[in-house]
Amino acid sequence: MKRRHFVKTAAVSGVAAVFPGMAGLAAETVASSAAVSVEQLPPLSGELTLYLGRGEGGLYENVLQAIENRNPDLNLSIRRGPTAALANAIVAEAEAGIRRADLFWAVDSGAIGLVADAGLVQTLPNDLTAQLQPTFRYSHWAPITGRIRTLPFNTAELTPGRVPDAIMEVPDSGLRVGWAPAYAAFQSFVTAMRLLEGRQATADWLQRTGSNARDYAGELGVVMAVERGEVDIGFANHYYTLRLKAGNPDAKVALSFTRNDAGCLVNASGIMALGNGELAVNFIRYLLTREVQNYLSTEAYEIPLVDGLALPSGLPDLKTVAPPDIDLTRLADLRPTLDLMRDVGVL
Amino acid sequence: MTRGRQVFRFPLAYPLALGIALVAVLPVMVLIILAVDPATSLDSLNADLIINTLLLMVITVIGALGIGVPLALLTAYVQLPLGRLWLIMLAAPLAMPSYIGAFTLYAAFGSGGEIENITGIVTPSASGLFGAAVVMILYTYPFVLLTTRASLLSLDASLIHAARTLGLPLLQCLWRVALPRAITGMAAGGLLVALYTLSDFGTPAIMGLDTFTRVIYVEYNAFGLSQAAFLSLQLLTIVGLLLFLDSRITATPERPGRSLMLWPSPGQILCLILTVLPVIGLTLLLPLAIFTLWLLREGTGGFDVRYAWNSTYASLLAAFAAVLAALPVAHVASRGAFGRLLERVTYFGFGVPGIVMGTALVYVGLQLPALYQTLGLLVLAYVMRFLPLAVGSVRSTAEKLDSSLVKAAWVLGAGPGEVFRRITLPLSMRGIVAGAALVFLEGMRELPATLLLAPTGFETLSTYLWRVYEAGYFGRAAIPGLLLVLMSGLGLALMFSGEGRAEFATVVQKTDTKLAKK
Amino acid sequence: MLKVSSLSVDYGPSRIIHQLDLALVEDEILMLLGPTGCGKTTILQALAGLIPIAEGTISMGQWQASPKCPVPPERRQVGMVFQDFALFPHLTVEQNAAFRLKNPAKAHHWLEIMGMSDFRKVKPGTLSGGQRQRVALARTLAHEPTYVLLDEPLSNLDAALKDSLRWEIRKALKAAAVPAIWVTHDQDEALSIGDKVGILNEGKLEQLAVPEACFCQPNSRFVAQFLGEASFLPGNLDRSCVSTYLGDAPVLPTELDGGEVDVLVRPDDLAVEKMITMDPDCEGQVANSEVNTGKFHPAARMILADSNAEVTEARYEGGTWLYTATLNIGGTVRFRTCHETRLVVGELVRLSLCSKEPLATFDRH
Repeated sequence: MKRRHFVKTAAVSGVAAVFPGMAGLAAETVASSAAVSVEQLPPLSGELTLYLGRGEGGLYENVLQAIENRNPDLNLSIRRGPTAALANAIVAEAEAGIRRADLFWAVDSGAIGLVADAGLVQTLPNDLTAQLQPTFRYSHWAPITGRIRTLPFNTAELTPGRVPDAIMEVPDSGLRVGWAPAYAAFQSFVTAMRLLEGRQATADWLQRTGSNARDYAGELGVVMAVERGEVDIGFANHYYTLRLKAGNPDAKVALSFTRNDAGCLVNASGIMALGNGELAVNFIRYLLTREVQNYLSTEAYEIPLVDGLALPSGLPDLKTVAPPDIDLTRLADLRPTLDLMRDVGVL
Repeated sequence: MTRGRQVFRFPLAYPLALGIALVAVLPVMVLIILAVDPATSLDSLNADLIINTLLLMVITVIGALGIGVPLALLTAYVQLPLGRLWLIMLAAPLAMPSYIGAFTLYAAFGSGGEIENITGIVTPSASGLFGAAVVMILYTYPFVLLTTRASLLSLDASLIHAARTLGLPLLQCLWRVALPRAITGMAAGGLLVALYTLSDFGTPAIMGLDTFTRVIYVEYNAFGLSQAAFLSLQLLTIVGLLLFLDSRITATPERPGRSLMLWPSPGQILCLILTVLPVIGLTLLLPLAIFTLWLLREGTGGFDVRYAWNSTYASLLAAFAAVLAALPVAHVASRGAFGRLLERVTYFGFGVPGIVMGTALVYVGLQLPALYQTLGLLVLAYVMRFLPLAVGSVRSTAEKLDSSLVKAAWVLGAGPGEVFRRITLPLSMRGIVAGAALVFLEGMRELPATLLLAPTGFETLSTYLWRVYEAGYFGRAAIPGLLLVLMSGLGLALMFSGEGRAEFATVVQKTDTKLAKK
Repeated sequence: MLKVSSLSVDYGPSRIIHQLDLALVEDEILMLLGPTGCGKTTILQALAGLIPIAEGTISMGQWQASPKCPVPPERRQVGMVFQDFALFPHLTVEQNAAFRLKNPAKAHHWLEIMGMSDFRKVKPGTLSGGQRQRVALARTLAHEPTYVLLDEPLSNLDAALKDSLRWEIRKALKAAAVPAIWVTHDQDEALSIGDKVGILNEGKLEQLAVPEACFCQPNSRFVAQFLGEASFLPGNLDRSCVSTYLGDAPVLPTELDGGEVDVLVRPDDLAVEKMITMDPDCEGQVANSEVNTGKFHPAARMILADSNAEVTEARYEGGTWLYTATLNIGGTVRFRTCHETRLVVGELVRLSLCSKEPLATFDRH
């Protein structure tokens, strides 16, 4: 039943919702916002090829469709595929001296790190990066939306006060834990912990948590297991819980955050320009407009990363969450994390 | 060992076959190059993973044989009402991506599943080794069905008749007399099932089963392409072992003859159909019903019929090209150890997980920059991946060709080309058609290579299906899912119609002789 | 007793066998003869239970099969011998012969009778065609069938082998004392081996009788033409006698009450008179005509006027000659001479009916 409710929410709104009509825009009174409106952007014209890594594909599709509808002179070709596969393909193309992608939009900052490390990316102009929140300004890529690591918990079994507010306390809490060690988002979280707490502490944490944990294939599965009461708490990106609750307001699951550690890491999907200069950069600008950011936050419960945007109700505010200070591109260093997880025997 | 070996000349067969085998194995060579990247070394693997992988493979092969062989007997020897439609429906699951099947089964069964939502009946949930094996069996048994059926059809009926008149009951006759002679067909099908199971990722992942492919995917998604390649090569040692075992299985040559026909009573036919229906129900009707349910709940949108055309067009081209390439390989394979080795080499690519193979194909494709991301390269990629499907079928029928027919054409003055065109080719048509059908169906559901190699913006049914599935628009999967089955059905009907003509010809001949007597 | 009544068999929408009736007693051997595609093999398969029947019944001892209640082959105690031998290639001769036997004694017995004891341990693949068919027959008889069906058992064998093997098979069937139906398209085989012969045409049994009756008293033109050489002469029937262009002859009792008929004339029913010999060495056998090589003598020309046919085809049969002649009034007949009477194509002859046996007559269409 729950899986179907999730399905339903993901499919409600269509292309038209991305850029509401002129009247809608005029009615918006967020003139004070630093965020740019599509109205202020130059029309796009020319050829662009976008490699779109998989993930929340459906909503991104709506955004892309809306941009195309708005710019009839833009000829946008899209190649879709698993993020890692597209990243590998871009690197392989570069090795063969071929460039097909002008833009690479990935749901995973690790993929961005891989392509960036290969030196294939053009630097973004300062006025573009300046639109983003200060902690999300990178010279070679633009984060589009964020996702927060959370501890979803079963509201029938636990009160919010029973959920640890430090990630390192989870093993001692005595709670049954659900996790998805093979899932990329989880591995990024472990990488962050490794960078913040050190290898040994992370290994201990994994081992001790693992002794009381159940494995799931993905993090939607983790959240569903928490809701069913199979486990008390889980590790998952925030939006799975929000989407589940949107489909079923009575779902017995709620969000909880740790403070200032890897447990509330904010990771991001992002886009990078590989070629076609100004046009590619201007395309990125469209993704940073308040219309697109609002659309993604209201429809997909992703965290807008452009500075000065109001959050839709229900989304956790980055200011109250207190995420750890960490350079997201460092999360691309997954290899030691996997070795560590294997050594401990959780992978 | 074929009786045709002394007479049938195929000019340039060896160089052609060698070239084709090399092209087919190119992606594997790329894997080797990627795997020797200095960064890699992997500790010992978890024994559970290997046990899970092998268990899933063994159970799937046994299950696929258990379903595929009886269905092969049924479709080969029994004239059912609506005839070929059954065969087409029974083979069609091969065109359905197994992750779709896995997902619908997962969504339908278990507590909170659609079946409970609608009927209120609680069904056991499909998950773990059991769930994964069920899905894999349901979406791979057509391999066994098609290869075994082709073998069975080439058997002469009189041995069965002899055994029956000697007092052996029918089922025992089929078991003791027919099936041992179809062993190569069954082995070929079983091998394909095993390879497919080894390389599939989606189904075990959805069912929550840890297999070898999961480790490969973890590595791959962590941008450890070289590690993934290295692990894929380890997986290939299992593949190599299977290929070796398969090569041990040989069949005695059969004399050509009229194939068996069974005549069950209408009641028995009804029983047979009733036993077949659950299979069709689970493989085709259930996914379509689930999708339709979601379609009704959510509505559809964004679908374009061109996707169906793209799928069909690319798969048909691939089927055609694959059988063309299969002919020389099958020819040398039936002539000696070296040819046999060449043939076996083409099988390796089939056992590598799709996404790793897809990336390796990108490296191969990039060697031909003019072709990169064109339809031509996509078709080439399909051929590289699915060549073994065609080679196996073509070889098994070509080996049964009676050499005196070739000799007869020869002394009538036909050159090698004409002999091939007018004798060998038509008589191998059944195997060629079966091989083309397999390649066609696999092409329809192929995903990783299509995503990475198709022309940008070239959307097929399977890429669209994947896209809406990934986005959670499951309702939108109904139409492409239905079309995938429909297009595959049409493709199969087209291909089996060639086989139909061959059967029709003998009937016409019989009537002709009758008329001549009048 | 094997009894078949009103048996009909369909293949798809078309009826292959129409209303077949036959009965076999004890060790009777029935030869089913007919052209290709007449349904011979279909009948055997129906009798064996390998294909369903559309109408009628088949019964043998304990069981009776009908469209409603078919009896599967394994419950019929039927023996079947195939054109292509159908020996199991992966089993030895002995294993083949004892396929379903708990005690191999019977298999050894029949292999012995068929002269195949020395080959017990070999695989069928190494045997010659004749040897394979001996093994196949031994296998069939060793399983003690209550009736045996033979589907052109000799058609894949050499002519020389056929003649001896057909008698071996007959002897073995008689020794086993089972009724047998033997399908063939070889009329010599049918006439010489069978206790009875049945002639099939397009799924219908045209005649079922002892071989002599089928040959001498065919009850249709089809049977007459199918068995042996047959010519039809127009004639005028008057009670028990017919008068034709080639003379008069007695006829078999017939339902026809006089008038225009066709008389069945076998080659041996005709006598030939030689009008002119082209070859001096071969003279004088039939007529004492004048000989003058290369030229017609005036006297010979006179005799030529008495000729009534011209030889159009000569066929040497070894010991005899079979000639085809065109009658002066039109139509052809065939006649046979001993090898000493040599006619050449184009030669004029005088033919006459010489049969003392009554001939068969048919209504002129």
